[in-house]
Parts: sequence; structure tokens; C-alpha cells
Amino acid sequence: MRIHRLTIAVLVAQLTGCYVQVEDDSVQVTHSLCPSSAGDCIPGGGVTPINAFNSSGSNMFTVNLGDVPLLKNSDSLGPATLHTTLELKSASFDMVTTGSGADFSGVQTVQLLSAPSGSLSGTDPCADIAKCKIIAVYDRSIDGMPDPRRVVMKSRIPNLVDVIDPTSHSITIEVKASGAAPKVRVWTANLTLDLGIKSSVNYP
Amino acid sequence: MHLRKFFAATAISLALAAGTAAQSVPDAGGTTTPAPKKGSQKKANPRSKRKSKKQKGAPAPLKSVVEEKTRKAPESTSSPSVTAPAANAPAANAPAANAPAAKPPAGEAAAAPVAHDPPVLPHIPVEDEKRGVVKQEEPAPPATVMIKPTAAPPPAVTPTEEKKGVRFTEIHARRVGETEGAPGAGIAPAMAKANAPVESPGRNTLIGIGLDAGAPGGGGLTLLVRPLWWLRLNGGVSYNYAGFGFRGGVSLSPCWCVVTPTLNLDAGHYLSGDLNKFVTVTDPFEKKLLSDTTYTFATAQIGLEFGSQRWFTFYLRGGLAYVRHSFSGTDLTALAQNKITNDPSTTYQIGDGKVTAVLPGVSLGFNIFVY
Repeated sequence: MRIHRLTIAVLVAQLTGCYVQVEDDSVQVTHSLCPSSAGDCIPGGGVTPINAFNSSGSNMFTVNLGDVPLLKNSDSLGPATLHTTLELKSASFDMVTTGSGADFSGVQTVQLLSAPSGSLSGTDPCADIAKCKIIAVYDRSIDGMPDPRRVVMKSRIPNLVDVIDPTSHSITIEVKASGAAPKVRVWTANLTLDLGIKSSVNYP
Repeated sequence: MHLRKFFAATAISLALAAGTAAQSVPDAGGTTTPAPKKGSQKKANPRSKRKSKKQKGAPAPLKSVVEEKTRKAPESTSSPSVTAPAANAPAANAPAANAPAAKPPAGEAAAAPVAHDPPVLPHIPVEDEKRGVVKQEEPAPPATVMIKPTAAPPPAVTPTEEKKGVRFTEIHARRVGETEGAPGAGIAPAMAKANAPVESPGRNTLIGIGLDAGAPGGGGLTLLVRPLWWLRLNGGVSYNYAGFGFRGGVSLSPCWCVVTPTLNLDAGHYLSGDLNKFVTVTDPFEKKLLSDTTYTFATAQIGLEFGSQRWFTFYLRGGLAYVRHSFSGTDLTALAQNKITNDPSTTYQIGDGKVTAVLPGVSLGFNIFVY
């Protein structure tokens, strides 16, 4: 039986524990549901159920993460391959609109789903749930709502990199919620993804 | 009938004599002959007695032939090549695998042979051969080789041995390095010289300078202090082309030898570093990120040092290195934000990142002790 030299080298490296790891526990990506120039743009008025999360009144939007290094499943680093894990610690909607009734007090549940890239706005690509991945969830009966202007969702995905489109470097998100929309006529909020990134490579 | 008996006895005698002569070929370890067991003598004697009774009446025309053959054996056993390997004396108790040891007991052999007696050729039972009971057929008293240090007292000869005519041949052996004189004189210094460190750590040098190069420590100029002969501390400055830093460490050397193994633990920190000297990037934010690459490291290495521990050593070391580097969160945020300039609705906020690595570490250098 012939043992390849590379196999021996890998075993030795594993024994010696050689590695390189890049990590950052505090990466926040904030996406404004309305463009800054548009101001408050999402229809409210206490409509039940709440199903509008963008300016066009649909429940889909795209978060562009950009071609940032390491935000890929794997990347080559010299002779080795870099594997990245993007941990979603939590996701939250933070009300930006001020004034009376600008809050999420009527919201009961929220589900954040990653829709297939290129899904058309106005459609429901996640009608078949098998096509989408649940990113984060909020259930008022379980999580409560300490701050009515903030909905904090718990992560349901181990590695957010899995849902990043490798070409556009973006995530298409569909929001499924139950309960009443904010009472204000129009409102806007920011989606904040609280992330931790860890990239590691084992040598050789 | 008498004629037939005579021929039969003669034939047996000839055959046994030839076999005995062949068996008396010198044996490397056969010079020290263990005393034969009484039991084995008893077992051996009846048959030989019966034969000797039969042979007693036989004339002696064949005696000269037998004596000739038996004479050759002592000549060969007393040759220097036999006594030389006396150092293997313990092995002499066991019969050599390729050399049959057929020697009559010392007592029998010592007995003066009667002129007209036919030669008594002893029979060696197979069990005795297996047990290593070696009998010597040589009629002359056997020479027992005693190896003793120079000027050691003569060996004590027991009355039994004296009675049996055992004579001792003294070989005065000297070990390599031993000088003539008192027994054992010279052995101790020679042994000590072979085993002990090349230099006695009695007189120690305390302060020195080290110069080395390697990864990830970079190049270093360190001050060496040796509070104990086996413990060496170092501290100094380091440079890796990207920047400057400082470092310190401990080296343990278990001996002062020409080639000394060492265990080395070092740690350091680079205060400045610009990796743009090594890589070319176009993105100004990446360039900014790489312009401030300070790192902390620790190494655990084993090495070999060549030369005099007291004054000068050259060394090679290898082991593992732990490296830790922090990236500025501000720089990371600027870098990431720059990637999504076309989308103002998304913003990044990144804290300080860190890079940790466990990598192979190597270094070489030299130490000069000056005081």
C-alpha cells in the first residue's frame, strides 16, 4: 500500500496542529428597508396581517454584502484552502420612524427567509418552504417584546455564507410575519444582522 | 575369540580416539572449564571402566597414534588465539554451538598416565553435553585463565583445585586509558572524560550576545544572561523588515557538550509592521489595513547548539510558533464599506479582528559569551 506524501504531510500537520484562523466577533451589517433618499416608505396604518417590508409594498428585499474578502464558503490561500463560517448571532428590525404608533407592538411572529437569488419582487418564492432557508425567527409568545420599537429574531442558520449568492454577493430575504403593521401611515426600519466571522485554514 | 575381541577393541579405540581429537578443536570460550558434576562423572565412568577393562589386556601399538591425536589438542587449546577471548568468560560456561566440548574432568586428566595403559577415551553422554559439562581430554593440568587488574592480589587457589593440579595463568589486563600503576588508576579519568560534559560547568560565563534569524521571530539581537549553567535568559530587539519589535526568552541546556540539545521558549511583540513591503495591493483600504500589521508571537523550539557553551555556539532550532495579530476595526469597516459603495442602503460596522496561527517555527543563530 502506497501512502501518498501529501497524506503524511497532512497527518503531521494535524498532529502538530498548524493552522491559521481569522476571526471577528463583532460584524454588523445594517440594511435600511427604505433608501435614505426616500425617507419613510413602507405602508403601515395597522394593516393586518403585516406583509409589506419594502417601498413597493412587498415582503422581499436584497441585502448587498459586497465582494468582501472571506465572505465565501472557501477561498484559496496559497497552497491551502480557507473555509469561512459566518455565524448569525441574531437579526433585528429597528424602527427608524419616530412618532406615535411607530412601533412593532402589533407584530406577533416574524420569519426571515433566504429566497433564491433573482426572485422577482411581488412573487412569493418561499410559498414552497423547501425552496427557502429560514434564517431567523421571532415569536412574541416565546421571546416577548421588551422594546416595542425593536424585534429581535433568533438565528436558525449555522452558516450564513451558505445563502450568500457567490456572484452578486447578496442575500435575497423574504419576510413572513403575522400581526398588525405599525399604526403610522408609512414607516421604515433597519434590518441589522449581528454576525461573527471565522475563517480558518489547516496546513498544508 | 581373543583375536576378534582384540580387533573389536582396537577398532572402537581408534574410532573414539579420532572423534575425541576432532572434538578437541579449540573453542573460543572453552578455556575456563567448569568443574564437572559428580553425577555426570558417575554416569560416564561405568561404561568407560568397562571399556578400559576390555582394553587393559590389549597391546599398545596404537597408543602412539592416539597420543599423537590427543597431543594436538592441547597444543591448539594453549595457543594464544584461545586465551585471547577470555573476556568472554561468562559465555565459556555454555558450550559453543559449533564447537563440541569434549574434555575430560580435570581430576582424571591430572592423574599421571601409566606407560602401558591404553588411552582411556572418555564417553560423553549427550545429557552432559547439553548441560555444558565439558571434559578435557588433555592429560596436562588445564590452564585456568584469570583476568585481574594490575597489581591485584594473586587468585586464591582452593585446596581442591590445588589437589587436582589446576594451575592458573594470570593475564594482567588494562582497560583502555588505564595507566600502569595502582589498580584502576587511570580508568576513572578516562571514563569521566568519555561520559562527562566536554567542559565542566564549574567556571561559568554569565553574559553574552546573541544574533539570530528565523520565522516568525525575525532577526534579533539579544542580550544573554546565564544565571545557572543550564539556564539562559535572553532579551532584546527584533526586526523583520516590516517593522521592529522586542522579545525575550528562556533556553534550557541539559549539558555542556560539543553538540548540546536545548529547549527554547521565546515570546515577543512587533510594535510596527508594514506588510506592503512584501505584497502589492491596489485597493487603498487594503493597503491601509496592511500598513499596520503588528503581531505578538511565542515559540517553543528544540534545537542543537554546536560549539563551546562557555564561549561560542551556533545553533539550529525548530518547533512550533503561535502568532497573534489584530486588525483595526476601523480599517476593516472602511475596507468592507468600500466594497458596497454602489449600495448606500447597507452599512458595515466591524470591530477589531484577530488572526491567530500555529505554524512551524525555525531559527538559526549564534551566541557569544563575553563575560
